[in-house]
Amino acid sequence: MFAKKLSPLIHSYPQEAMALKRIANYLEDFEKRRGPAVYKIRLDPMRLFEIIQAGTTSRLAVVVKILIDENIFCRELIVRFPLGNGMSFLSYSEIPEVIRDPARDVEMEINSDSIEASYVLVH
Amino acid sequence: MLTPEDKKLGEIIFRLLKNATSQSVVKEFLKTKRVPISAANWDELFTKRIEPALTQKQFTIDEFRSLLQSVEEYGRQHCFLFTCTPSRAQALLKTTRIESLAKELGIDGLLKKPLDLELPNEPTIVDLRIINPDPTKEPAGLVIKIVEVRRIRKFSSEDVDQLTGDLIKRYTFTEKRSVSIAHLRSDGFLELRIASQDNQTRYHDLVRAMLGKISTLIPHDGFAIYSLSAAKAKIYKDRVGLAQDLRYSTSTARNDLGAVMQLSSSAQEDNLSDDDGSMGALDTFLGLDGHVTGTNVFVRIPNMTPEREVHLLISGDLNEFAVPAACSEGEYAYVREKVVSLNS
Amino acid sequence: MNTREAIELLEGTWNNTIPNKRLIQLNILKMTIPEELHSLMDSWIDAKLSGVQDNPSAMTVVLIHGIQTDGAWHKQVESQLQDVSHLNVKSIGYECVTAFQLFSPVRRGPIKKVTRDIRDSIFLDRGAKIIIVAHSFGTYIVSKILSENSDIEFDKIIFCGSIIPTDYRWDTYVKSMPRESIINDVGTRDFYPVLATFTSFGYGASGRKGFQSPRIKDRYFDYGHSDFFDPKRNHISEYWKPFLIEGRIVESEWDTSKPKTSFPILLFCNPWLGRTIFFGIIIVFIVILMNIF
Repeated sequence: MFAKKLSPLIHSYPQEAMALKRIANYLEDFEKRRGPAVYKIRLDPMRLFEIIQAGTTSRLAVVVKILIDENIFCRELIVRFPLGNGMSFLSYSEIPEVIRDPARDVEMEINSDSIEASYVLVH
Repeated sequence: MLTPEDKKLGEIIFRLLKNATSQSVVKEFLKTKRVPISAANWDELFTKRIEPALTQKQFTIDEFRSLLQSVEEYGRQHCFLFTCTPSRAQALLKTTRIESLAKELGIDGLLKKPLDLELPNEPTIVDLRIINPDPTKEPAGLVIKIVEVRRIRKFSSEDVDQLTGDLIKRYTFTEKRSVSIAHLRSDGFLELRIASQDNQTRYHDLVRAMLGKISTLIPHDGFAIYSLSAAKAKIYKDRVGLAQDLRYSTSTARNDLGAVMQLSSSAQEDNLSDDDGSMGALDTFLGLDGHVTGTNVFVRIPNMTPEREVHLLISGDLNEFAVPAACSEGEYAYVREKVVSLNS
Repeated sequence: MNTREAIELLEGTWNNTIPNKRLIQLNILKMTIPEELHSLMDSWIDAKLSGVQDNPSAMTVVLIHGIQTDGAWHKQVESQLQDVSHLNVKSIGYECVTAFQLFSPVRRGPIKKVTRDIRDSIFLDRGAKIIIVAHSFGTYIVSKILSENSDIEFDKIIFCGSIIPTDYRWDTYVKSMPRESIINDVGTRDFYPVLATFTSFGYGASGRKGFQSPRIKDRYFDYGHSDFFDPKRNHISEYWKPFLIEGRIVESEWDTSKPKTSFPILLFCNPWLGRTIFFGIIIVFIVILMNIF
C-alpha cells in the first residue's frame, strides 16, 4: 500500500507527525477505493492544506518540503490556459514569460495568476 | 436657501453618484420626493432638478447622501465573511467602547456626520455608524466605511516603430474611487465588502489591508473565516429543489487527480441545470473525489415586478462571495442571507 | 540562515512587492538563499500563489513533559486530537532531568531550550493559537518562561501535576490572557508537588492544592501524579479536548466530593513550614548519627 511509504517519515519528523499521518490516511483511503488510480493523484496546495489540516501556511510549506525532499511527491507547476488546458514545468525559473497556448495556437503572456502548483506522487 | 457648504456638498455627492450609478436610479429617488425628473443629461439633471429641489428643501443633503450610501455600499463588491462568538461581538460593539476608541483615533466626529471625500490621498475611514434600532438595548452592529483611490491601468493606443521593429503599447492611469465596508453584527458575523477590482481576481492584499485599517475598532483576534464550501456544494447538490430560487450559470470543479471541469451555460440568461447532460457529467465527476470550487448563479429576488435576479459568484477564497453587479441594500441583504442559509 | 529567517525574508519580499512582480523578485531572492532552503522556499511560494491562507482557527498544542521521562504521554494526546481540524501537536522535549537535578538549583538548561523551541513554534505557526499542555517539571518551565519573557503569550494553558508555587504572580505574568483560559488539573492523591515543595526551593504544591487564584481554574480529580494520561480514565478526551476546541471547561465531579486535605499535607504544602520541618528532621537525624558514630 502506498501509504506505508510514509511510515518512516512519521518517525523521522515527529513534529509534523500529525500532518504526515493525515496524508497517509488519505492515500490509504484513496487506494482502497480506487486502487491504482492513486498513482495519478495530483493535489494542489489548497487541497493538501485541507487534507493535512495544516492550519498555517508555514506549516504547509514545511510539510510539503518534507514530502518532496523524501520523494513522496514531486512538484509540477502548471501554466493554465484560458480554455482550461495546462502545460507543466518543474520549477518556477523554467517558466518563460510568454508561452504558446497549444489549444488555441496563440501566444500568451504568463503571470502569477496563471501558474498553479501541484504535487504528483512519485512511484 | 442652501448654505454654501451644503451647495458644495450637494455637488460632491452628485459627482460621486454620477460615477457610481445610472441616471435612472437617481431619477427613481427624485420621483419619491415628487421632484420632476426630465433632463437631457447628467449636468442638466443637477442644475435643473436636483439643486433647485435641495434649495427648496424638497429633500435634504442627508437624504441625498443616503442615496449615495445605498448606491455605493452595495453591489459590485467581493464579500469576505468572518465569525466570532456573539459575546465577543457584543463586547466589541459596546457604544462606550466605540466612542472612546473613535475619540482616540480622532474620528469620533464621524459618528455624527460622515466625511464627504472624493479621492483621498490614502485609504480613509469616512463613516462610522453604530446600528442601534432599539436605544434601550446594546447595538446591533457597527459599520465602518473606507474610501480609497485605486489607480487603474487602461490600454490607450499602440504604435509600431518601424525602425526598431518594436511594438509600443501605451496605457494611461486613471484614478477611481473605491468604497469598502466593514460590518460587524451582534450575532458575530463580520463582513468585509470590498469594491471589485478591474485587473485582478485576488483580494488577499486588500483584505489584509482592510483588517489592518479597522483593527483598533475591530481587532481580528477571535475571528475565524466563515467557509462557504457547504454552500458551494449545496447549490449544486440541491439544484432541483433550489430551481425556484437560483438560476445556475457556471460551475467549476476539481478532483484529486488534478482534472478541472468547467461547465457554462451558453449565455448568461440560460439555466445550466436545464441541461441534463452537463449535470450528469458533473455528478459523475464529483462522485469520484471531485469537489466544487466555484459556482456562478443568479439569485431570484422574490415579489419583484418585473422579475429581478442578482448575480452571485461563490469562488475564490473559502469565505468569499461576490455580487458583481449593482444592487440595492435590500437585494444585497437577501442574497447574503441566502448564501448563509445555503451554507448551514 | 535558518528556516525562520528564510520565511521572514520571503514574507517581507512578498508583502513589499507589487503582485505582478512577485515571482520575478522571489526568483532573484532565491539566488541569495542557501541551497538547502530552496525546497522550503518553493513550497512556500506554492502556497502563497495558490491563495492558501492561515486558518484563523488553527491551533498548535505544545506539550512539555516532566522529569525522568521523554514525554511518552505526548503520543496519547496526539492520537486523541488527530481528528480536530487544523490542530497540530508539537512535543517539546529536553534532556532527561533526574530527581537530583529537580531538587538542585541547576535547572536553567531545560528552561533555555524550551524557551527557544517555543519561540520557534510561535514564529513558524504564528497564524495559529498556541496552547500549552504541561506536566510536572514542564509546568515549572512554563512558569519561568512567562515570568522572564513578557513577549511570549499563549492562548490557553493546561497544567497537570503542577509544581509551580501557589503564590505565583498570575496577575502580573498573564495579564493579557482572558479569564478561564488557564486550567490547573489537580490530583488530590498527587504527592510529588508536595515533595517538591518541602525538599527544595522554588517549587510549590499547586498540583495538589490548586492555586486558588481568580485567574486560574483549578479542577480536582482523584488522581495520582500521572493518572491524567491513564487511557482508562479518558481524561484527555473528556476534559482537555472540549477546552482546547471550544474553550469549554467540563467540571469535575470530584471538585464537590473530594475529602478535606489532611493537616500534615497542608503543613508540608506550606513551603516555609514544610522545609523547616523537613530540614529540621534531617539536621536532627544527622546530629543523632554523628553522636552515634
